[in-house]
Amino acid sequence: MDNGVLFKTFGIYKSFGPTQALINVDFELRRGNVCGLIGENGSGKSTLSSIIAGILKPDKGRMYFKEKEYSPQSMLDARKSGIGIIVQEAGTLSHLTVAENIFVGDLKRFEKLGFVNEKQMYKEAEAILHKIGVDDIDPAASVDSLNFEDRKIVEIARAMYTNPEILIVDESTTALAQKGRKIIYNLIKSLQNENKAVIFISHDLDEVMYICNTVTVLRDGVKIQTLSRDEMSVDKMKKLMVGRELTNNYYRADYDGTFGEKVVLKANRITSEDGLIMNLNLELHEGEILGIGGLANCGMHELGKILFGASRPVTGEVIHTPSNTVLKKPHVAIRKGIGYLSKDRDHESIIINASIQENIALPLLDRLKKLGLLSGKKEKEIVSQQIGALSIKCISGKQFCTQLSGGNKQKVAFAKWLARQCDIFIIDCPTRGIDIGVKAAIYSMIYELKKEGKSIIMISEELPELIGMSDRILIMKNGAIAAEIPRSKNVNDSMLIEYMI
Amino acid sequence: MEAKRDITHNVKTNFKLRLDKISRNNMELRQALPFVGLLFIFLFFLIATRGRLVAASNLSNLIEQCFTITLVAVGASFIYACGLFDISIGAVMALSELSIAYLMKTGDTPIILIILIAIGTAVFCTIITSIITSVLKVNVFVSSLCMMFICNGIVTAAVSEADIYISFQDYKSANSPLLKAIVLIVMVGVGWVIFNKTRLGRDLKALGGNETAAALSGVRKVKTYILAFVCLGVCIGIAGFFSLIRVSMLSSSTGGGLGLNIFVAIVLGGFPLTGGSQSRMISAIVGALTLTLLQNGLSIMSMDPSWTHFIQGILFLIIVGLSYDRSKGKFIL
Repeated sequence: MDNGVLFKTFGIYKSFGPTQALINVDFELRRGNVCGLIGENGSGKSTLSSIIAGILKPDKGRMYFKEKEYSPQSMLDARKSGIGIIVQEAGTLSHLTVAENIFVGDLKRFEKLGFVNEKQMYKEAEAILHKIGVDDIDPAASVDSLNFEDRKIVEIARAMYTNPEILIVDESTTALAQKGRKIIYNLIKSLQNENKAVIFISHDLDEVMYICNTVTVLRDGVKIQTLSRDEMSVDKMKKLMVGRELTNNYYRADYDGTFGEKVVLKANRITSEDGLIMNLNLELHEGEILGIGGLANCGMHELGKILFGASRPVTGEVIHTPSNTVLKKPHVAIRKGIGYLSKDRDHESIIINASIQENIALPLLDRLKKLGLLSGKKEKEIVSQQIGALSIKCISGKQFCTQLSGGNKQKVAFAKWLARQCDIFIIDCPTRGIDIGVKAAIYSMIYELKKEGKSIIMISEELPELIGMSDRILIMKNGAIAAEIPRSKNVNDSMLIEYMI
Repeated sequence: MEAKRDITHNVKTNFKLRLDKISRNNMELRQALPFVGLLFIFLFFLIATRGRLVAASNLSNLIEQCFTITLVAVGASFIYACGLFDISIGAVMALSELSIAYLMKTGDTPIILIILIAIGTAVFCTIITSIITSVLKVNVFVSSLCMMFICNGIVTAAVSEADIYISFQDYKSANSPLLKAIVLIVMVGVGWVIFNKTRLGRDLKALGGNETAAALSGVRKVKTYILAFVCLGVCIGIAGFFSLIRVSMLSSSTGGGLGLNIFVAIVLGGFPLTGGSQSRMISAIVGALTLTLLQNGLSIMSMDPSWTHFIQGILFLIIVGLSYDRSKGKFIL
């Protein structure tokens, strides 16, 4: 087993309740290898990497690391053996300092007579941060005071300080802007030069092309194929991931960009409590897809909440114009036919520990009444209709959302508002962390809604998405709208970025 | 190629079906556990007391004992469903008994009015607890603890001279086990319908599952929490009325420990303490019945009451241990 094989799995099986996440997966990693792990949501990428990193245990199967049998009991155990991971969602522990987060589980090494020697800990943390090229994070600061990106960097430092021989990067770059990405890319390069190995998970196939020298494709928990560098191409990867040819362009094809005259939602000089939005005016029309973009801290996510009544502006008001109602609470907005999709899917959009049916029916309960009581039959009917229409991958509506992949969770979140037949959709980062298959489905759905005369506000961090879908794009900067760009062929990324900064 | 794909597909489907079955059985097993526990305790005491457990004389005792705890457990399941709890239940019951005790001494107030006053007092207290919790955003442990002290204080002051005795001649008819059985069945029925067939029950479970997501789906937090506490208050009020008639006196120890007994019953019945989607009213009822059988059985065997607490503690540990792995699949770090 020489020829440079560093890590190997044989016949890995894993299931979550009734969902089969991995089926007989053989995976191999050589020294100096940066292996991309790709697949649609729910294909088992994160499960496989979690098993390798000791976070999950396989139901069946063996793993070999450096020619020895390897079965980590925990993430810390794996880290001691030399396998580190940077996870997809925020993985820092709040209420602790940066340094404590880096050395979590290993504070013993700073112990002196039962006390932690903080000075030494901060010094070492600073050294590690410096080594990965970060000098602007204070090791003594609380992680809660950092922004999302810096927290990710703390995780990188945590994964790196033990000098792992295998580093797993699980979709971490999606959340990162240029600074963080650069750090990760540099790390990967240096690990490669040291003849170590990296498992790189990403939805961004261009990034995979740029970083990886082999790529393994998973689909529905089965390993489909491993491509070598010469065999790799974006089109081929896409095809292997979804198992069929994909049309090249999944945004809408027309450049019409017209919409109704009637204003359906209006924001009057609103100012948010955190001061990120100042005296902002906005009008949404019937049959319009209004894209809102900007830099990470421009207040666009807060704006979405305010428009839905989930957050109260300090001054100004949001008005549902057809009924002339001021929107102050979510339940009022919902009654007026407005639906809201949060950026934070697992914490705000759906109840993870509840069934698909309970989630979809929740905003709808007032319409399911029959003689004052809920009609179970009607509920089931509507839910299964939505599951069918959105092809949510599940066993039945009774299945719990914990067992669904990210893309399917997002479909459930959408289904809530589709089932209620909303007229206005406020969607915040609708395709965040979602694979191309589901992405395409969501785009065509948004377009369908527009054609039916519904109005959509799409807040997004992805410029191609804004350009590809919107009738009108608003760019936010310094709490106000910096530019308004109508739909046209000539809009491109750099144009929008210009307005943002 | 085609054949190979077929085989993979077949293997996959078979595997899926098998796993599906296993996981379903597991779920059923966990849900069945409290029922098995109830049956076990019933059979154990049936044998250990040589059938005295179901003797006619004890049967009415059983009804008396299970009435209060089951009725209040039904009400409490509404607040436990959204992940809250209430430690003041016993004290609120004592206060609602106090509010009718003087009226019942004279005997010229219509019985229906007395019941309404008892309910009204209890509901008033629970509404205050819920408003402090949901509007002022004080932890429910703190707000219900305050309520407990306030109610306790009033009752203790009222009985400081002497315990209040009431002549229960005029209301004797309300003390029949049959009437209590009927009231209990009706209340369980009504409670079940509200819990499972109305928006309130579903909203409560949603709030228990994820407060933010529920609010963003149009659940009105404050209103829903208050209504849950109203349901609890109604049950406490009714339980208080019947309890006062049975004991025909009110002392500073009235209602003591009821709140904690309800908590034990909820856990024994397998009701998730965080509330949410898996909350089922039947769990609260099964837990209440288990606790009643346990207390009654031990007392027939003339066991020292302090051993009851010891055994409760052990059982509590076992049940918590068995239901703990709910969070096993959780992603840590």
